[in-house]
Amino acid sequence: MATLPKRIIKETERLIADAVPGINARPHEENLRYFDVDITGPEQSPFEGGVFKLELFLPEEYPMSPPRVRFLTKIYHPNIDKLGRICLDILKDKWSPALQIRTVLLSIQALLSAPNPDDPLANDVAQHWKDNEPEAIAKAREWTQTYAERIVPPQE
Amino acid sequence: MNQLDLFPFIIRMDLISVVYVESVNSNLICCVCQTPFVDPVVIESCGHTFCKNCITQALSTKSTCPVDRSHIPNVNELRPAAKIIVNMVNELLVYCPNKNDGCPYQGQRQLLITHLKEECLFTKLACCNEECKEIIFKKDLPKHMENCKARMVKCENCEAKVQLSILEGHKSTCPVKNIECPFCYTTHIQSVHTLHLEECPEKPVTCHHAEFGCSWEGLQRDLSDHIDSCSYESLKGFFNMYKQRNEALEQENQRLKTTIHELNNTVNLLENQVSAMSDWLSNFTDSKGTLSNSEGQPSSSILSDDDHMKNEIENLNFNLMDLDAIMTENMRMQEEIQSVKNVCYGLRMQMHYLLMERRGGEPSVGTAGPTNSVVRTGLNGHIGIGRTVPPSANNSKSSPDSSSELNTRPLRSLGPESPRQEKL
Repeated sequence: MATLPKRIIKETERLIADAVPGINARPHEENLRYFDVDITGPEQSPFEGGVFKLELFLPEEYPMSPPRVRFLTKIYHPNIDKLGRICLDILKDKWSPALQIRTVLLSIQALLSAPNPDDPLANDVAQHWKDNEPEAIAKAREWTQTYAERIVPPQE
Repeated sequence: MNQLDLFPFIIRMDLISVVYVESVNSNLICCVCQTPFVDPVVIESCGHTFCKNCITQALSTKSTCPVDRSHIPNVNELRPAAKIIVNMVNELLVYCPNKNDGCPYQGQRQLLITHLKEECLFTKLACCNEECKEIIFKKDLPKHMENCKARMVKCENCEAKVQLSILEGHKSTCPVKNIECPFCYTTHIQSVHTLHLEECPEKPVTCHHAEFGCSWEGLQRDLSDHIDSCSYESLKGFFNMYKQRNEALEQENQRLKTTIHELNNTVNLLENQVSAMSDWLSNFTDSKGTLSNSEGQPSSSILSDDDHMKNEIENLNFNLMDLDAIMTENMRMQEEIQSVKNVCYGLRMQMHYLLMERRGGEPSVGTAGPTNSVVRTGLNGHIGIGRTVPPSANNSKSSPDSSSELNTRPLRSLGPESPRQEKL
């Protein structure tokens, strides 16, 4: 692998030294372009109280092409499909080299606060959201508890 | 950066990777590479500033401004950034890229190239000697050049520049090398030295007639004086004649020696052949003429052939003895068979007689004929297998029948005969 570009080194340093609240990103030791990410579910969203695991990979062309991000934790969200793929414009055609790992993760966090059923990736979830929003939110909350609940150390 | 490329000694230099002394105002940071602008340019339509390299690369991927996504149809939209921006980034304090190697320099970014090119003692240079090319700090270069194994040195004789590593080799072949004469202690260059050695007046020599007995020894320059007074000189003609004859005799002697040597070799060869022949002959007489066809072969092979033949003959003898035993056995068996046959015949005759007696009134010839013939063929079949008695007239009559029929006939004939016996 070619030497890591200065920009990636700087970004990684800043992500660790000056972390965004609710977002935790750590590069893999053997591949500094691959990150393990934890995003805490935003308050007053159906995902509150959950910690969602994501993977983020910086392709060779980065920052000229967007990072690849995917949810690893199951989530009931109209813009995230069951494989964890995220429907977010800045990860696709709206990518700009001025964006960074930090901004991408902030956008994902924001997407959790504001699901957008009009631009769905998971059609059935989006339909559920449109037809009966309270019920869909309840289901999202249930999934959060089932799959994304912060692992509490076992009581003695 | 282009200027740096022209400077061949600098191994690696990249302004993007320069380390800044102080933290830089975020307005001077390119949003693409996240470092202070290098060669800043501005997009005319939207006014955003980037490094020239960064924006060129970004626009080649996608023709929008990385900051506001406004459409940028072509790179002609780019203009050099305002002078004040250029100056601000150029005057940023940076460390020398060789800081980790020990260079303490820090100064304005725009002066860094000059520093690296002219001042920095920690710039890495490649030794300019073709064969060396070792990479060294600039500060160590003078010392290295003094000790470089591939440096050029001047030959002290011919003034030519020679590489240090081959200097020793050059010295021994240098055509202008000075060599001191061991006799007169004058020095001459190599090419003249050999000639001088022949003529050096200080060289110790002996008289020309030393071989004939003149005991004079002296320096070359005194030789001509001695020759004038040498008593052998007057006998020169005789000595020469004597010497020539001696030489001729020696040559002839040599020739004769060679001939004798050759003859000796021939004699040795012949002796060997004779001994080989006698060996072979002795083998020949031992084997009593049985090896006549292996004539001319080396004696050793004849010997082994002979042994081989002996063994074979012995084996054959054993086989013959076995055969003899079998023959004796065979004879005995034949005799036994003959006696059994005779007994059989006697019995048959008796039986025939009894049958004839019982039947009484039946015509003797009519019944006896077929029965008798059947019995006889059966008997003949048996005899045929034994091959001791030649086939009888009856057997030759039934020759059109196959041999299997011949063998089975007695059985078939006996079949109907036995019930007949029971009936009777």
